[in-house]
Amino acid sequence: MTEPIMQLHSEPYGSTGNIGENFRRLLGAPTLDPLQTVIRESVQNIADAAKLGKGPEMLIRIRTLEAAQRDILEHHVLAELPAEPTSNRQIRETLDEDPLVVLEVCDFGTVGLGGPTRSDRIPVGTKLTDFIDFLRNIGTPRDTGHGGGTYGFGKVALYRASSCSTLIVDTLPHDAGPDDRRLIGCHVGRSFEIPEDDMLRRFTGRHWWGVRDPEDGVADPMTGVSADALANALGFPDRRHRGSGTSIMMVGFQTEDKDLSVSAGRIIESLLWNFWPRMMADLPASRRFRCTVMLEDEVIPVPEPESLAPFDLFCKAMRAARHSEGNDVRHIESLRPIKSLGTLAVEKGLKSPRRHLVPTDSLVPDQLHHIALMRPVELVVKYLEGNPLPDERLEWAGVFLASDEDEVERAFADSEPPAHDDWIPDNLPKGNEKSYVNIALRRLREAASEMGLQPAPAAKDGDDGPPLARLAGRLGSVLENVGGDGASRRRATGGGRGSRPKRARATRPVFEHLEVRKDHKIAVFSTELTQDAKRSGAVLQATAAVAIEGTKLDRFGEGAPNPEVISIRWADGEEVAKGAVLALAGREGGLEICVRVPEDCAVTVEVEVLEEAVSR
Amino acid sequence: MSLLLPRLPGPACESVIRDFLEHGLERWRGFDPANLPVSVRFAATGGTPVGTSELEELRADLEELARAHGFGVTNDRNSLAAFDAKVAAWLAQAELFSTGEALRDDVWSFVSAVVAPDIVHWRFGAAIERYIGGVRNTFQRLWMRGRALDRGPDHPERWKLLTKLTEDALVQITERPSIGSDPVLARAVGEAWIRASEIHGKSAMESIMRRAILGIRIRNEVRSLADLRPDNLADILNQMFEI
Repeated sequence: MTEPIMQLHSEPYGSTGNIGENFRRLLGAPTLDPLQTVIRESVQNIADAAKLGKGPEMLIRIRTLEAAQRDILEHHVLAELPAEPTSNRQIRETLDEDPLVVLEVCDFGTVGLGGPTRSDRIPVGTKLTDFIDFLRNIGTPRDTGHGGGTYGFGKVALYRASSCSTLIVDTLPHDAGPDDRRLIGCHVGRSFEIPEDDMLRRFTGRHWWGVRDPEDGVADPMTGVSADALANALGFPDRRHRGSGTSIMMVGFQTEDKDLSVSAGRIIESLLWNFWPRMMADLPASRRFRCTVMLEDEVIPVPEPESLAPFDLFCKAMRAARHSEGNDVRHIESLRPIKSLGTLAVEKGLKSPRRHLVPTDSLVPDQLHHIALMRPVELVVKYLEGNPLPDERLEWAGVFLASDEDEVERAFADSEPPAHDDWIPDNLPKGNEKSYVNIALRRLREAASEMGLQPAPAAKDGDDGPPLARLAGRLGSVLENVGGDGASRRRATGGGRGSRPKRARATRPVFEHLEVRKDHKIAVFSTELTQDAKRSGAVLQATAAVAIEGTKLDRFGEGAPNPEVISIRWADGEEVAKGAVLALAGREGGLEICVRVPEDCAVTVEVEVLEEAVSR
Repeated sequence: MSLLLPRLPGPACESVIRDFLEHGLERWRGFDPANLPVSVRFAATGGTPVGTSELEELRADLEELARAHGFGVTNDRNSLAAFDAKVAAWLAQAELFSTGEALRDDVWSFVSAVVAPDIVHWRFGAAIERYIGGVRNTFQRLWMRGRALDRGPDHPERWKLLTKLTEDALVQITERPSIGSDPVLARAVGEAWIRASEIHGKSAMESIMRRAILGIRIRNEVRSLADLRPDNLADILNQMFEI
């Protein structure tokens, strides 16, 4: 069968002007590299298109067009070239490339690009406008509730990935029959003018290949059997078998890597780095992304995030955030107005050896110290960097999951720039929404920088012998599993040295020495108390307990010995209080706590600084 | 070179089990060592991955042990206890579980969720912590018991502790890390329990055991009990067990 030939339509300026070539500039300067931007944008679009109650299946493929496919592209799809010289030259040059490599992003089990094909001719009652939103309009507001995207600008990234800014889009809307496949080509170039009847006819620089309407010359997508034949001949995945969805081909894949397998590695890394929460094995099938990456005809395996460091640690934090249950889960709240803004979960673990997916310029840091920020849609917006743990063998990962309450979710969504790669409160007008984003970011930055500042336990000179922590750490790293649920120190309660803490606090008591009295033994512990700016710490309260298996015995009675705090004194010698409570009267400094030690056991002490006196 | 065992990570194990429980025992297709779940992993280094024939043998052995104690026929408590004792002794001697691999939760997740979920279901029903690796895992707990309470190959009644001790006593020993992870101490506690039960009677032992275990854990913070001479240790334990 002879394949049909597609026709070109170049968009003229409307009488009231068009947005024109600035389209390409609209993406702003994304903070990500171009390939990562393409992956992020396309997968976000796919996530929004997965409305059929099942998770999308996606195929990202780099392939070299075969001779027959090149022939179809050159003589049947891009047969007519734009009159504008730069566009004309770019497309010509790409078609002459040898080999001609394309990047395809395809999705299945999604809604596809349905609805009318003309922005200005929308039948009354139409709800679905996916086709025109993706291909014709720019900056269309979102309609997917709690979706990944909120603007329509992101698609520019796709044009950028093509060396001639040209996409071929093949789509089968889900509510249509198998004969409703649509195929259209699009190119974005410079605006230009053509003399016509003593006037200059101006064009925006956008061009479409499809089937020209005999009345107004606008190219509509090719449909039906012709679209089917042409798309299959180009090598697009067969829609009759695989069902609805969209395939986008970026003609002339631009990459900085000489070796395409490196680019494939980068694609996999981008997928994981940006979408690991949606690739987790324990997600319900309706939300889980199933991703396949192919280089030519070969499937490159995409590792599960749970099984690849450091994503395994992120996954652990993610599960903690989802279920509000983990080693360190905090709820981030706004006080004025009172509103829950989201959940932060942090997990620490031994740094597992990395298996690198790319030889250089990996997105994945060597020692994790990041909080992944996301809205309830669970696509990573960005990573907030904190301080790495001082011990390089350890790392920490955080997840902030914004609240799914509409007002809060919308605030975060609206603060995102077109590429959805940041939360910028200044993007919002003054008001509650702006404060939500501001407060959350401030709290998160505090939490992130606090993580690395955990003071190392006070080392004592003298008779303690050589420290074994390093050796123990080495031995421990032999055990590959990251999941350290054992005894660990919780986060520190304040910032670094020098600055005043927000609340008066005392360090964890450290054992100093034993004193033998007439009929009993006393264990002496030391702590350092720091007042806040208002010196609001009124009382220090100490609690003693029997030490057991690295922690304290929280049960009394049944014959268990009962240690007792007998006095607390300032380190400068003046004994102030008998018993477990010391009135501070605004003072701060070193303190010694004396505990009576029952026979045959070890004791620990905990202290708490209270702002009001306790009655006792 | 040691044999590496298949590992099934926690979350994957949960989904395998949910699937198993949702569809019920009748729909379970049996264990096929040639067709393991995709989430099963092996350690990258340190040995050779176990072959399908060893896994088949493991399945056959477990099934034989279970059938001998009424698997598929009865849920009688006595036969379940006997099954526990038998399997604990068997696991403690099994070549397959003689390396550090057996210390890993994910290895036991694999055994329970993939190799023998039907046996777990017979023994414990649908309680998920019996399938996932950890101190409550059906087979892992038995392996720990066997390892901790082995009187040694030369002892005429090598596995007697496993049959004599009650379930409560076994749990008290193996679920306390400071005792269960130290075979010397664990065995001494087991022996002391038997001595005490002969004096106080089995029915009085639950509260005595609780007090004793608490005392042992507290003392163990300041004295290395396992390093005492056996007679000294027995003296101290006698005191704890009110003998």
